[in-house]
Amino acid sequence: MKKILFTLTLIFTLNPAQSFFNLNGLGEISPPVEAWNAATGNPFALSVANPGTFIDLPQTSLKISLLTIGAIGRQNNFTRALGTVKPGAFYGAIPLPTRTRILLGLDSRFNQDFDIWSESLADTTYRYHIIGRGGIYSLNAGLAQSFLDHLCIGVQFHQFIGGSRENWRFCTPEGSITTDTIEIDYSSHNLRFGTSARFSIITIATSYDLPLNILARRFKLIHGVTTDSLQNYRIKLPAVTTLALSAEPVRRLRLNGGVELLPWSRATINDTSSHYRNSWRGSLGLEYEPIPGHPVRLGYSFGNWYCLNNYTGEPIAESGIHLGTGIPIPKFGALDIAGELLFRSSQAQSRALRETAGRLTLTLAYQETWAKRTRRWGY
Amino acid sequence: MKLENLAFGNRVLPLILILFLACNTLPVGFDQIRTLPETRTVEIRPESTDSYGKFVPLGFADYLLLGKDEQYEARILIKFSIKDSCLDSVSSIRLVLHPIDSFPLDFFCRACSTDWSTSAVTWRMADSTTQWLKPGGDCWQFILGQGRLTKDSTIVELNRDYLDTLVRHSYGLVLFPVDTGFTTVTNLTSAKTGPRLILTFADNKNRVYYPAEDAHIVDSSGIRANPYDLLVGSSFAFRTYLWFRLDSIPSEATIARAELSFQPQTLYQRQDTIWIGVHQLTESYGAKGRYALFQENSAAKIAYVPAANDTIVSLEISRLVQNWVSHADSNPNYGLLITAEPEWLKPFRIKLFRTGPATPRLRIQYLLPPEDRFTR
Repeated sequence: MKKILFTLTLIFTLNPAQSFFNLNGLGEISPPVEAWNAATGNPFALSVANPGTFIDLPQTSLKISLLTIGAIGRQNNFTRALGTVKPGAFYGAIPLPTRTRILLGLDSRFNQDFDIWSESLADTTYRYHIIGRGGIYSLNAGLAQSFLDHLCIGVQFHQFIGGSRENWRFCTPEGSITTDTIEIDYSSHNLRFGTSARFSIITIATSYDLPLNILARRFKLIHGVTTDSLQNYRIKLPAVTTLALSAEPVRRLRLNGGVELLPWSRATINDTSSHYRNSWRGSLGLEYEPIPGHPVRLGYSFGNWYCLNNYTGEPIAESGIHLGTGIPIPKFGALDIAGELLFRSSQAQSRALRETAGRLTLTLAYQETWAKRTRRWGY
Repeated sequence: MKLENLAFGNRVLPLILILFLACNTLPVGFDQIRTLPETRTVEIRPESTDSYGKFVPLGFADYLLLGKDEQYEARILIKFSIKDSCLDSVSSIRLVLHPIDSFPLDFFCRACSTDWSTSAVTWRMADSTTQWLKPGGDCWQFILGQGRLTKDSTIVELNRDYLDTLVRHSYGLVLFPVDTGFTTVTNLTSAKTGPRLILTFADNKNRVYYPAEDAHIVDSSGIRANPYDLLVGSSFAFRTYLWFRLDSIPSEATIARAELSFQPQTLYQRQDTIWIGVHQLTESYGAKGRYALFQENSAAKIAYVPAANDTIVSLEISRLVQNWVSHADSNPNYGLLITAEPEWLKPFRIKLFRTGPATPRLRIQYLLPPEDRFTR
C-alpha cells in the first residue's frame, strides 16, 4: 500500500502540468484548493471559500494545501506532458463568541501557466518557445454569522493581485534568443456573499460574487529594441453564482451536488465584447466512512470553460473524476488527500487539442480548541 | 503483497517511463495562439559602396615584419636609449635579433635621422604630425651593418666608427630587406627574445640595451589596383565601405539574424588564414570620405582559409543591425567598413565584387512583437 501511494505521488510529482488551454482568456479558473472538497467533485458552494458555510465552527480551523498539477496534451498524434508543484491555498476560520466567525484566506482565482513549442516556421527549423507563468490570486478576509445551528450568512472581501509573464523565445539551430516579454499586472477587489441552511439531513449552500472589474496593466518588452510599450485593459466579468446541496441520508454517508453559473458572455474588455461565453460546471460526490476516521470520497464533475478553443472556435468541455481520503492526525487535525483526473477537449476533431490533467491536493487541516483555564484553589 | 509488487513492476514503472517520454518539445497546443508574430526574411544589396587604401601604424603588431616583393616592402625600426657617457671605451657593438619564421633573408641597417613614435609611424609619417622627408624612413647614408636572418638568433656586428652618430644624432636603426621574401622577428614585447644591442667595453665587459620603441612600416607602391575595386587588406590597409538601406524593417522588429555575406577573390596573401572584421561607421562616409570615424571594436570578425573562388564569407552582425533599426536616432545607419582584423597582419588583399552573385549582401531575418493574451 505504501509503495502504491508513493508511486502515485511520484507520478503526479514527476508529471505535473498546467493546462495547454491556459493561453486563452484569463486562463484556467482555479477551484478552491482544499482536498476534502476536491475529492467530492469540488462543489464551490460547499467549500471553505464560501463564507456562508460555517454553521458549525467549534474550533479554530487552519487549512494549508500543496497542489501538484499536471497535464498530458495530445494533438496531431503528438503527446506532451507539462506540470508544476506549488502551494495551493490557505484558509483560516476563527470562532468568536456570539457564533461569529472571522475568515481569512489566500488562494488562486486564475491560472495562467503554460509552456508551448511552435511548429517549425516557414519550412525552416526555427521555432517559437513560449513560456507563461503567473495568475490572479485572491487575498481575502470576511465575517460569518451562524444562527440557531441551522443558518449561516457570510461576507468576504477579496483583494485580487497577481500578474503573468510570457517569454517568447525564438529558437534556431545556433541557439535561442528571448525576443519579447509580455508582463501583465492585475489588480481588483470584490465582495462575495454566502449563505447556507441546514434542515435535518439536508444542507443547502449558495454564494454570489459581485461583478468583477479587473484592471490589467500590460508591459511589452521587446528585447532587441529595449523599449516598453504600455497598455491598460479594463476587464469586466459578470457576477458568479454557485449553489450546492448536501445530504446525509444514512450515518457515515454524505452525498452532495453543486452547480456554478458564469454568465460571462456579457464580459467585456475595454468596453468591447470579450467573446467569452456563458459557462457552467456541475458536480456530484459522496463521502463514505467505512472505518471511523478513514473516509472514502468520490466525485464526478462536468462543465465547460468560459473561453473558446482558439483553433476550433468551439467550447472547451471538461469532465473530471475525483477521489480522496483523509488521515486523522491525533492532537492536530487531519491530512486530506485528493486526486483529480480532468479530461478537456473541444469538438471531436481529429486534429484538435485534447488534454488529460491531473491534480493532487494535499491539505493539512489544523483544528484547535480555545482552551479556557479554570483557576483551582487549595493547592 | 505480491499483487502490489506486480502492479509496481509491470504497470507503474512503464507508466512512469511513458510520462518521462512525454516530456518533450512537440508542438502541442500551439494552435491556441490565434495570431502568430510575423517573421520575415529580406535580402538587401548595398546601395552605396567605396574602397580606399591607407597607411596605418603597425607599431602594436605582435611581431616585426621585414621583406619585400614586387608589391609590398616592409622595414623594421628599432630605437634604443644609449647613454653617451661611455662611448669611448666601446670595443664592439652587436645587434641581436630573433626571427620567428625560418625563411632566410639578407638585410642591412642604417641609422634613422628623424625621430619617430611607435604609435604613429607609417611608411609616410614619422609620427602623427611629422612626415618623413623620404617615404620609408629618413636615414643616414652610411650602412651600420648587414646580416642574414636565419633560424634561432641573428647577431649583426655594427660598424663602431658610426657609434657616435648612432648615439648622439640618430633615432634608432632602420632595417632594410635586401632579398625578395618576408620574415618576421620578435619585438620588444618578448622579454627574453626581443631585439637587443650589446656593447662590449675595453675591459671585455658587456652591456645590454633593450629597445625603447620598435615598429615596422609597410609600403604598397608596387600595387597597381583598379580604383573601382572594393579591396580589403592588411599592413597597407585597404578598407571597403558598404551602406545598406534598412528603411523597410519596422523599428519594433527584433533582428533574429543578420548575416553579411560575400564571395571574395584573393589577390595576395602572405599567410594561410585571412582575418577580416566589420566596423560600424560613426560618421557619414558621404560627407567625410576616408576620414569618417568608425568604431574601433569590430561588430563581427571571421577567420577563413581561402580555398577556392567559391569561398563564401559570412559575418553575423545582428546586434549592429538591431541598433540601426531600433535606435536610429542615437545610432544612425552610416554604413560599415570591412577591414582586415587587425590591420597589422602580414600583407593580404582580397577583392569584393560590385556586381554579380558574389557581391556583398545582407540577409536579415526579423520578428515582429507578439500580441498579448487580450488581443491575440
